[in-house]
Amino acid sequence: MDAREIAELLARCQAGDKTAWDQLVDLYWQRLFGYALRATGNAELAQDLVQETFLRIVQRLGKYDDQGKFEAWLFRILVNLVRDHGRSLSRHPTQSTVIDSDGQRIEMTDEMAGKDPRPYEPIDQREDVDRLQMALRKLSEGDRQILLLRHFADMPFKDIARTLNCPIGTVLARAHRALGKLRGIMEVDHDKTES
Amino acid sequence: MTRLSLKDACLLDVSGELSTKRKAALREHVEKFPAATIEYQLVKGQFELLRSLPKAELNDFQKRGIASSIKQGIHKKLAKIEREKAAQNRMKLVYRALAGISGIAACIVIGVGIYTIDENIRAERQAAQIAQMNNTVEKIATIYAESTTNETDAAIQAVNRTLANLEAGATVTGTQDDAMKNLLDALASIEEKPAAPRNDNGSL
Repeated sequence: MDAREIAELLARCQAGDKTAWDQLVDLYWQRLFGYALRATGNAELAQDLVQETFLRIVQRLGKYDDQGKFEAWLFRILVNLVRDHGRSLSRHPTQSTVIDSDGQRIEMTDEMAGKDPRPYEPIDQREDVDRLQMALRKLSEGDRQILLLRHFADMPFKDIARTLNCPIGTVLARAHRALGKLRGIMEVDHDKTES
Repeated sequence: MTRLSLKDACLLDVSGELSTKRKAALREHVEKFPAATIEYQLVKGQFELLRSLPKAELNDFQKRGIASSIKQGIHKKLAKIEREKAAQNRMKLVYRALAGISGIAACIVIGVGIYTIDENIRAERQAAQIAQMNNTVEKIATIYAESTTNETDAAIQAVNRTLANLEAGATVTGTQDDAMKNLLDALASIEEKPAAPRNDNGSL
């Protein structure tokens, strides 16, 4: 879909056309979900964040003035939601709390609740995915965002610069640094596993 | 066109974002300089590592499930927004109706006020006019009464004069009898003399 077609679709959405909204969801949800899934490591949470992103778009699209930057705006909302969620997780690190029969508080994880946090990962790749998630966690937030947007959201560096509101040169410099670090981390992990 | 460093150009090239013209220039540079070739290979290796990272694999059922859940959420939100808009419109309508009613009420109150004030002024004027008329009537009555008294007085005076003339005539002509003269004398004495006090047995 080119910029003109997206502008027309957005105009229909602004007019309250439900089918246009469905088209918009079909157009973007997989890329948004891909980013959110790797950024959070939790499928259910990723789905919630993608839904919340679209709901925010619904709320704000009435005031949106399209200048061909919709995609950057959409992803910026998701990136901010993921970041805010990460901050709230660091303040409140548990997912849920239950009280047992002795009155003790027990922190409940997805695994304990019988939920699979990675229902979309093939079982034979889960080890690789775990290593990847560990490696990504070792990167700084800014570096991680660039790699996730480039690979999991299929976003060109030019659009990443727009999304993160910074010059393309900065994005490329961060990408070099992040790729170098990632390679180093994964090689070290690989060596440890082999030894 | 912004100038790119070799590293950035390599990254954009392996990422598939370099224009044809720049791509050709980069190829030429890389082939010419061995250091550039090494740099290019390093960046390419790093980017291939990124490309090799496993993406989530969703089957059609999962895809439909997620998409439909997101769409349902949006539809609900749109319906809620529509309901809120309708409610806002209703409230606007109610406010406008209330404002209209208030305006009409204010106009009525002002109209009634003006009418009442006007009526009061008119009543005061009427009362003043009535008072004025009453005064005039009183004055006329007084004047009339005064004029009537004068006429009566004049009549009495005329009678008196006639009587005087009669008396004079009687004296001059000598035709009036003595009894008439005595009566007139008696009347004159009654008017002139105050009434004498009576004693207990009623005698004078």
